[in-house]
Amino acid sequence: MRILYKALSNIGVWLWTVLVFIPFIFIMLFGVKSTNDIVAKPLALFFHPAWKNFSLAWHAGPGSAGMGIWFFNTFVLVGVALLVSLVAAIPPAYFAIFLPQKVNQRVRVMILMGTTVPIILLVIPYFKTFDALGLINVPAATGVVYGVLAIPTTFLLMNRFFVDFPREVLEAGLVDGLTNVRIFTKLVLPLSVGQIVSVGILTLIWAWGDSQIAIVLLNRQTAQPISVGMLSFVGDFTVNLGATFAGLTLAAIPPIIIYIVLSKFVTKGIALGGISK
Amino acid sequence: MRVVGKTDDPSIDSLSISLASKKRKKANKNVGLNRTNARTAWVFLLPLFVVLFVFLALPIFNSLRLSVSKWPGVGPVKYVGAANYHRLVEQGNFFYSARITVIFAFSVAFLIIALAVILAAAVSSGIRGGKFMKVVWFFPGIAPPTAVAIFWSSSLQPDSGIVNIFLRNIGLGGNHALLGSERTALYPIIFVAVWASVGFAFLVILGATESVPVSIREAAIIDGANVRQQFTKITLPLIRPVVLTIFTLEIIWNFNGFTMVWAMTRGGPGVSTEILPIYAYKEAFFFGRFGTAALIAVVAGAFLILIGAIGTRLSRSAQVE
Repeated sequence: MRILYKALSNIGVWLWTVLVFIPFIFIMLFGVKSTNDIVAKPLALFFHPAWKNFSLAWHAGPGSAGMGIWFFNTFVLVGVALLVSLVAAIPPAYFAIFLPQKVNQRVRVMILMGTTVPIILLVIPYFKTFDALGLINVPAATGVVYGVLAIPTTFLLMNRFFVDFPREVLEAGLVDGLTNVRIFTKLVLPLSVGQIVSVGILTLIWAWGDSQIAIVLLNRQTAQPISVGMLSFVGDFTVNLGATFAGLTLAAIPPIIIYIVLSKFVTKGIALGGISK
Repeated sequence: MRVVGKTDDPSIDSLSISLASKKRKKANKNVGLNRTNARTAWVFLLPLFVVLFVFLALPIFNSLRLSVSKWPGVGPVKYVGAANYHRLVEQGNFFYSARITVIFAFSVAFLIIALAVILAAAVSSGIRGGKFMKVVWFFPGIAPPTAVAIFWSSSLQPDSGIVNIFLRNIGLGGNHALLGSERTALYPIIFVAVWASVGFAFLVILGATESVPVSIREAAIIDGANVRQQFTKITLPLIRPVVLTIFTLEIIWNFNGFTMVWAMTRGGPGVSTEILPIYAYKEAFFFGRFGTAALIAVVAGAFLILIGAIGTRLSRSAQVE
């Protein structure tokens, strides 16, 4: 009975692993196959690699703007989002630990409410305001929105980390004659890099993948990030499958490589309460 | 540096505040350090609150105002009262859309949690290759949802998609157009949404599982509990608040699941997969009826806030027990 149970659960998890893994193999495989090969012999492992899929996807792609521009826009958008969320949330998250406990608690509750606002309620007003300000189709401005929406989570996770920060370190800094701001920048920040990376990655994954806000604020193809630009691939399958999959490879593989390298931080960031996305 | 998160409960924090209060009391002794820093705290906090008010609270007021107004996307906003409401009711689509949104969000969330709990149970019982699986299972959650959705919808194409090629090879026929039929289009989307999100829920639940004190599990082993009993009788009840929290959040996120559905079907065929976020998006940006769209958003938002409140209440009461 016990052995049967164990065998079943082993088979189950391996089936799931295959189901999770195989699509990425196909994405990469089809990315280097010509459209004819994909349709005629999709499973063949020997074929003439069609590297031109990548240049096609990069420059023009099946859409019209191409992965190159979308990549650039994504970097701008995600970079601004990370900068905004970290710079705006980390200093207050640190200094709030010196507030009376009850006050810090109340601050946390107020900021927590910010994580529960449904995005669907925000999208149309954002469009209206951005339109009025002439900020539609400015990736950096959209990045600010993603950054601000990531502030509550960043604040809560960092604040909790700082609460547990060893006080002896801070007092040692005080004894050495450092000012309070210096203690923060010279002592606390360098010791918090791991935590900051963990929290930052959560923001990065979200801003890299979301399309609900970006599709509204960035409606011109040349201003769009990958997550929105690639939507124009849909319905284009028969035209150029190879380039579509080259595009998918470019969109999906870099974040996965970053994740494999930093997976320790990601797992920790999620275990920490990444669920307050 | 200490590993944070192992010692205290990792995830309750998001909905119900639970701070390690013992540590705080000790901290407040050092008044010299606290007083100047507390002032600095407000210097940073006040602007932060202003920013959050502008980006989160004001838009909600704006949505409420638009929901009783007419605005075609340019020009002035005109008050029309309940006209948007009447239009929605008369169109008839709204109730269908609301119904499939709820079906979609709840079934996706339920399947995600069920699978994540099973997988977490398997890995925490020390299955071989667990470390490798922990990394791989999150791949679908890392790749952009758009890319994932495009991959699956191309794989589901009749004849040429690899899913159909696979089905043909095992003798089930290769011309299933699941996404092309109004009757079946929602199922593949549910599958893909589940496929993409299990890894995340799994990591959260596994984190909670690992934070269950070893002593409790040892006591159960002494009492003669087998591996499965340990999980169902000891671990599962202890991590119930986390499971409830992540279940609530998955409902909310999938209710908002614009990307998956948009990338796979754009709400079609017909309106068969037109969940509320897509309905609202189309009303506003295809038909220029921003007022109606805002009303849809307000109704959906109110529902989500209600779900969130119920979820918080449930996970809190599970925590107290």
